[in-house]
Formats: sequence, structure tokens, C-alpha cells
Amino acid sequence: MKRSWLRQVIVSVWMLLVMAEFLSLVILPKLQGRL
Amino acid sequence: MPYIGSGPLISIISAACVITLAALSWHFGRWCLSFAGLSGHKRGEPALFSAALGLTAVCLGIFVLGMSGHLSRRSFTVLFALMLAMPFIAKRNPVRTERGQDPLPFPLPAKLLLLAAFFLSLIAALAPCTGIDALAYHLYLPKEFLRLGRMEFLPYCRETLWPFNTEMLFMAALRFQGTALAGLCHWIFYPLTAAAVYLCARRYYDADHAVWSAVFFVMTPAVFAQAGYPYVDISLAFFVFMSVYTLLIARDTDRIGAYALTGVFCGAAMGTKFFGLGCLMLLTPMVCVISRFKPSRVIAFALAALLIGGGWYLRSWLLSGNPVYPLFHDLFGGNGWGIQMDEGAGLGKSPLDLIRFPWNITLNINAFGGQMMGALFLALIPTLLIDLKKPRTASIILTVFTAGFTIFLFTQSQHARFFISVVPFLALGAASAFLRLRSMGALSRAISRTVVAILLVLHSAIFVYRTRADWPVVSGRVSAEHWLLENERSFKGFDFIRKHVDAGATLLNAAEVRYFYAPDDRRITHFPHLDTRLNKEGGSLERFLIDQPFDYIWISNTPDPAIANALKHYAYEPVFTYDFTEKPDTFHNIIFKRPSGMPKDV
Repeated sequence: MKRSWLRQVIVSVWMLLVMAEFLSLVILPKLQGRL
Repeated sequence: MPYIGSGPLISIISAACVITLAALSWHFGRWCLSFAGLSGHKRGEPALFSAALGLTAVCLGIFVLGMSGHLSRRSFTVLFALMLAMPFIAKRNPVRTERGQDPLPFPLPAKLLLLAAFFLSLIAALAPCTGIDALAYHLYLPKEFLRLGRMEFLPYCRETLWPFNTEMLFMAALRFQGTALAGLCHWIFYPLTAAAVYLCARRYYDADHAVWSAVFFVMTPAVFAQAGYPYVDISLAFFVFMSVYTLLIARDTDRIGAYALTGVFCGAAMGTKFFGLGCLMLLTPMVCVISRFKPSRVIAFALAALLIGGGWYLRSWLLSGNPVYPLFHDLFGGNGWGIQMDEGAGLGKSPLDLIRFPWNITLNINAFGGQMMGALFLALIPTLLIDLKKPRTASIILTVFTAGFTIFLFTQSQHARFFISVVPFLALGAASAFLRLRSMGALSRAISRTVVAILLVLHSAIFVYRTRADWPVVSGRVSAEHWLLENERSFKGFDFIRKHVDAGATLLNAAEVRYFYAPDDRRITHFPHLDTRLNKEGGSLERFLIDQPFDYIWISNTPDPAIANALKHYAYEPVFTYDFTEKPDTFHNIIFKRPSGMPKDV
């Protein structure tokens, strides 16, 4: 049970991290006309 | 202007033409498929395989017409008529699906999302062409071949002997209509690849997996962007994926016909782009292992691949002495010219760079040519690693090929759009990951749904944004010429040449590699061709420009020193200037004219 929660936390953090990076490094610069 | 047109009527005619092409391909391909002797097809597979075989046959047929110098409209019509008649002349039992199968499920929201993406990309494909490589060679060379009446070797042109399967469709499109139809001839591979991904996932996984795989493939921004141009990246992705899909079927059935189909699609990939050779390099050992080294299976695969794709390499070898001219000139000799495949994209080729590559290509898009892969694959696929289960054999084969082909492309050239060939496989992997996350627990289910939903909305917004400029021209509110003057870098310069440069005057184009819109009835020399010719002949560019001065010289930004010297030597005067911005760069174009009466040696 504990292991399952740990896995879920790790994959969730990963997905949120990738999305946040994508927004800040790709989408925001596009919106600001920098890309 | 020839080949250029837009508006509702042209859109309808082009759509009708491409539907006819698809129907003819399916009709002829179904006949070809009956020779493979396969049974046990799942629903939808015979139609997909037939269309793929038929399109391959159309490309091959036009290749033969081009090589034999029969590029008139009548020759094309005879070819299409033959393809229409053959299945009626030599009748065979059509391939059927297994009885009692479930219908192909596709939830309404996913269906609407995909239809919207297809429709928006269709609008982009129908707009006059602005793609750099399309104007530089994907469309320019078919136009040149049509003008010459034969697929000749143009010795100073870099791409003249490249494998051009998809360009054969473009050549037919230009012969019958123009750039709108050519755009659709590439666009058609977008829904076809989505269908292939869907049907493969349906066969080897389940219905949910099939739907999500198709959604992830279609919603990839780089794939969407390419679907709007007459390029070859999605057709390559389609044939590469089809070759692996049929290899999986060959493993299941152990039929020679299935291995031959794998070879046919591998050959079609080889004939689409040099990168298709990577498919051959990977599939050959895989076929050997999967067939347990049965000679008949391996020979069926290899023969089919060489028969379908080998013609392009034979043509190149016979005409230049190099089967992959002008690549690998160290090995085969460059026939006076050689280039490197790597064009400066990417962030290094070390093993560490390879590990970082998925992160970099997703988040540092400018370093990989500016195309956007989107964050879905990076967010989802690595999560498979945390809960590794014993994989199915199909998953192992798909993973081995994906990894091998990615490494092959990584070592060759790291432009993001070249990796579109692996996107169908990544879509299958992302769907696996997403479905596993949904069943892992409440937290991962909630987060994965939220992340996927946000990213799909973002990608949809990007699709709408990308096509915003195309609506006025496709709807007919703005003429194609007027739209191109505003939206295409080279068009304004060629428009000036068409209207203001005498037919007898000579002009050096040192500004543009996009040659497609150049008027055929003007004496234009393109700088890369002249430079290559002089390199090959051992001549000096500086001397040439002084001894045989052009009447006009067109430059962009800073010219070559030899050109700058000639401009000064003859006191050329600027007659036309214009700026064009393609973010982040601005191109300052000047067309100079040599003053009349100026002697050759002043």
C-alpha cells in the first residue's frame, strides 16, 4: 500500500514537473513572442 | 500563375481529386493484397493495407513514367486507368475480415477532437505553399521534372537524386492542379497514420488503448504542422509504422505474404527518404530473428524491400556513381560534390546527450529546428519505468524498433521533424502509460487526467493559432497571389522579376533557396547551383561574376564577398528592396541592376 502511494507521488510529481517546464520554457516564450 | 490557386472551388476540386486518388489506391491495393495470401484480418485492416499498397503502387508507377520521360497528362491518365482496370481484368477474391468482430469503438469527444484537428490541418494544406523545403525541392523538383518532361539528373542540385516517392504524388498533383492538391497528397497520410496506429493498438492491446494512441498521435504539434505542408515526414512515418505493424502480423501468422508486405512497406519508406534506410537496417535483423532465420521469409522481405525501394538508389548509382548522392561522398565519391547529413540541429551526440535527448527535444525546441513535439510523451512514457511488468512480445518488438530508429535518427540529424517517424510508436507508448496511470491509484489517475487534459487543450490552441492566417485565402476572400505577397518570403522577389525583368535578361538569385515560385520564362541562375558548378569545374566565383556579369543580382542580408565585389565593380544599382520577417529573423532583400551600357571591364 505504502509502495503504491510512493509510486503515485513520484509519477505525479514527474508529470507536473514536465508540464510546468513545458509551460515556462515553450508556451510562455511563444506567447511573449520570443520564440 | 501556374500551379497557384486557392478558394472554395479549388479546395473542392482538390478534395475530390485526393478522394479519387485514395479510392483508386484502395481499389488497386485491394487487388495487390489478395496476392499476399493473408487471412485473419481484423476489421479495418484490409482497407488500410490496401490503401497503403495502392499508394505505393501509384508512386512506383509515376516513378517509371518519370524515368521513361512520359510526364504528360495523358500518360498519368493511362496509368490511373490501368490501375482501375487491372482488378477487373484479372479478378481475384478480395481479402476479407474475420467474421463476428466487434465494431471499432471511438467515443464521440475523441472523434470530434480528431476531426477538428484533421479539418484545421486540411485548411493549412489547402493554403498556398509556404514551407521552406517544399519550395526548395519537394515541389520545386517535380515542377522542374515536369518542365523538362523527364526526371533528369540536375548535377548542381543537391536533392536531384534523392528518393522521391511522395514527390511522385506531388508531380501528379502539379500536373493536374497545383499546390493545393500537392498539399492534400501529403495531408492524406495524417489520417492514414492515425488509422494505422489505431488499428495496430486495437489488434495488440485494446479499444481504450487504440483510441488514446490515435489521439496522442494526431494531437502532436509537430505532426499537425507537417500535415499542412507538401513535405514527406508523415508519409515516411506512415510507411515506417506500417512495416513494423506488418512485421508483428508476420510474427503471428508466419506467412511469407506478411513478410513480403513488411518488405513492401519498408521499401516504400526507403523510397520516401534516405532515413528509410534506417528502417531496412533495423528490420533486416529483426526479420531474421522473428522468422527464426527461415530463408524463404528473409528473402521475401529483402526482395520486396529492394524491388519497391531500390529503384531510387539504383537511379542515383547509375547517374552519379553514388547510390545516396550526394551523401557519403567519402565512401562513394561525390561526383564533384558532397554534403554532410548533419545540418547543425541538436545539442550534441554523446551517450549522455542521447539520455538527455527526450527532455531537450521537448523543452528546448529552438535547438532542434523549432518544431514542437509537445509534452505528452515526456510526461507519460517515462512513468512506465516505475512499474515494469512483464511486457508482451508485441511491446518488446515495438520498443526495440523505436529505440533503434530513434538512435539512428539521433546519430544522423536531430531536426525535430525527422523524429515524426517515431511519433506513432511514442503514441502507443504514451497510451500504455496513461492507461496504467489510470489504474495505479486515485492520485495518479487524477493528476494524469488533469495533465493530459491541459496539454490537449494547449495543443488544440496551438493548432487554431497556427492556421489563423490561412482562412482568408482558403475561403477565397484574398487571392493566392496577394496572400503570398504577405506571407511568403520569396514570392515578392519573384513577383518583381516576373513583372519588371525582361525575358532576355540574366539574373543571379543569391537570396533564396525557395525556387518554386521562380518564373520559368526568365533566365535565373540560383547561386548554390552556380557555386557547386564552379567548385566542380575548379573555377573562381569572383572571376566568373566579373567575366560574365549578370544583368540583375538579388541578395538577402550580407552577400558572398565575390558578389559584393561584383556589385561594386560594375556599380550595380538597387531597383527593388523589401524586408520580410520570419521570427526571429528579418531578411533584407535587394535586387540590383547593372547599369546599361556598362562595359565588361570598367
